[in-house]
Amino acid sequence: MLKTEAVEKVAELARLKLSPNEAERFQKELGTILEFVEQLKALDVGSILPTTSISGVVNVAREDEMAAQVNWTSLSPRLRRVGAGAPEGREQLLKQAPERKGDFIKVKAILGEKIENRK
Amino acid sequence: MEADRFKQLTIREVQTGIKTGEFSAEELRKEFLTKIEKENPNLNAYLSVFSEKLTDTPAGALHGVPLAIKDNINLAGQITTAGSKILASHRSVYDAAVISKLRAAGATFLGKTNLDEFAMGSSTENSAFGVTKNPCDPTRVAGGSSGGSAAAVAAGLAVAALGSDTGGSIRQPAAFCGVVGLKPTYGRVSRHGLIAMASSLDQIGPLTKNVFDSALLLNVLSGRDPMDSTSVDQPIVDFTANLDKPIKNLKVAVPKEYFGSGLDSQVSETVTRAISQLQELGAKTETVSLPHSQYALAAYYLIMPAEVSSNLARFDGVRYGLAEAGDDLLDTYLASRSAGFGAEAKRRIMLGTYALSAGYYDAYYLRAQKVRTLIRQDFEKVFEKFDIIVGPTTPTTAFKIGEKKDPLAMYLADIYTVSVNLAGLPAISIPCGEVAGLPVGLQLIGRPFAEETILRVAHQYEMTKSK
Repeated sequence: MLKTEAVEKVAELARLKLSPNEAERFQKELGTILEFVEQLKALDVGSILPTTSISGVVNVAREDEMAAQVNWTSLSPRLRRVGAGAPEGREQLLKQAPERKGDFIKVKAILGEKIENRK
Repeated sequence: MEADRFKQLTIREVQTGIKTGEFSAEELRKEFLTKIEKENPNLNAYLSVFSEKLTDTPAGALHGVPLAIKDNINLAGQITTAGSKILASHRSVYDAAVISKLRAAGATFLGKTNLDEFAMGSSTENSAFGVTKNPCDPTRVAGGSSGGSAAAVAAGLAVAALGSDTGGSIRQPAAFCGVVGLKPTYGRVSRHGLIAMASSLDQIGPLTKNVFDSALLLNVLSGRDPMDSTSVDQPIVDFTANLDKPIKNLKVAVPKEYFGSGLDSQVSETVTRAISQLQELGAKTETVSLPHSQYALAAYYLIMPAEVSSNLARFDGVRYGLAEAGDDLLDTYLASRSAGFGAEAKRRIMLGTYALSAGYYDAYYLRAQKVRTLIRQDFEKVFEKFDIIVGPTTPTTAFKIGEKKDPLAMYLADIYTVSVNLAGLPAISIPCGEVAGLPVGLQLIGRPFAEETILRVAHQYEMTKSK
């Protein structure tokens, strides 16, 4: 069984704010799932290497070259909108930010009295 | 077009229809849109439908073929929700690699299909936009997470569809709706532009009406992509070329663990009959053991949530997606994420965070990765002697909407599919009969990059079945 404090701690790490109902529900459900995965302890895995990647591809690298210059104005409207670095794509992305100042995304203060007092 | 014809219409028939002038690409698309408008309100297979007139449709292998796309795959200029409230009004800025390939081949897009939130679920009941109903029985689920894509193909609301499969999300809904669902080998198809759930397991694949269409779509989707460093450079093959090559003396393994307790007895009988039919086609079947199968689901429910918790950290209410302004940055994170994510997403994020947190990493995440090695080795051992592995896709037929209230009971729906993702193998689910009017799926699993073999066996089974 997962302790109440453990659920609160995990929610904090995961940047989730749980209502009292949610906290109670997740405590029970996560406890059941953790009990289920306990069965892995029955296996002796001492000498087994972990699988981190399945395709066998390792250290994919490329030459550090400048990408070919693209003349965006010569492309169709759809291609101007898509593709890495497309000027219209950049504007489309910025438009979806909740707060923006010119070509920057605006964020709330990350340093300050209030934050430090919280801890 | 007659109502029944939509349900049968294959890619090859579309190609013939356009060639002979029976219909144009635009006429065909319009007919599908009319049918979607009429039937989708009941089915809820589509979350969005594209009604703009076609402009340029290249004369490629898929010229004029109307497809449905799972709503976790980016299509430039269109809304991509991933089934989540947090992306409810998110507009894609670029095309996923698979979409660029389909466009270049001349395919057209009808709309985006429903899914469990961020592809997390086995019934589409976790979608923020309502459940998709099973066209075979509207009181039952279409499966998940690609339930919208499977239902759209089964109901004749698309010629074929794309889904994504992390633990069974293409194969399970295909089995529940009676269509063909293929999960390619990990690395066969680029994941660039697929909204990531668990990156070491995710793979995009087709849902189709028959095996030939599945092979045809795989031809277009395959290939290494510089934008996905886990995609693999493999020789280009035509997956349709050898479908008719006889399967005489092919070695077929039947794992005893896939026929244990939990498997519905009638589903078991149906699948066993299908396996006998493979014997009649000349295949040699033998019972084998995959001794670590029983641990696959537990390993999966540690590795997958760990990756989920990392991938879903990007949704923060700052750059895009739902934003709930707080007093400071931390408040904004907490408010946006708590309002935007549904229960299953929160559950998996927390489970993954727990499994990765200091003090628990070795006991949970690392141990699960070691068990993943054992599961992979089980398959490698069997594939030393056998060409394919067969068994049921799911332990039961489609269950009732609302039937599985406990998360763990829902997870068990993927018991035969998750180990394939853990091992990175290709697998296909094909219809092999019915129990009480509901479709049953036969799962064929292949060696890495041996899609050609599973497609060939699936195709020949399908041909004899329809005779």
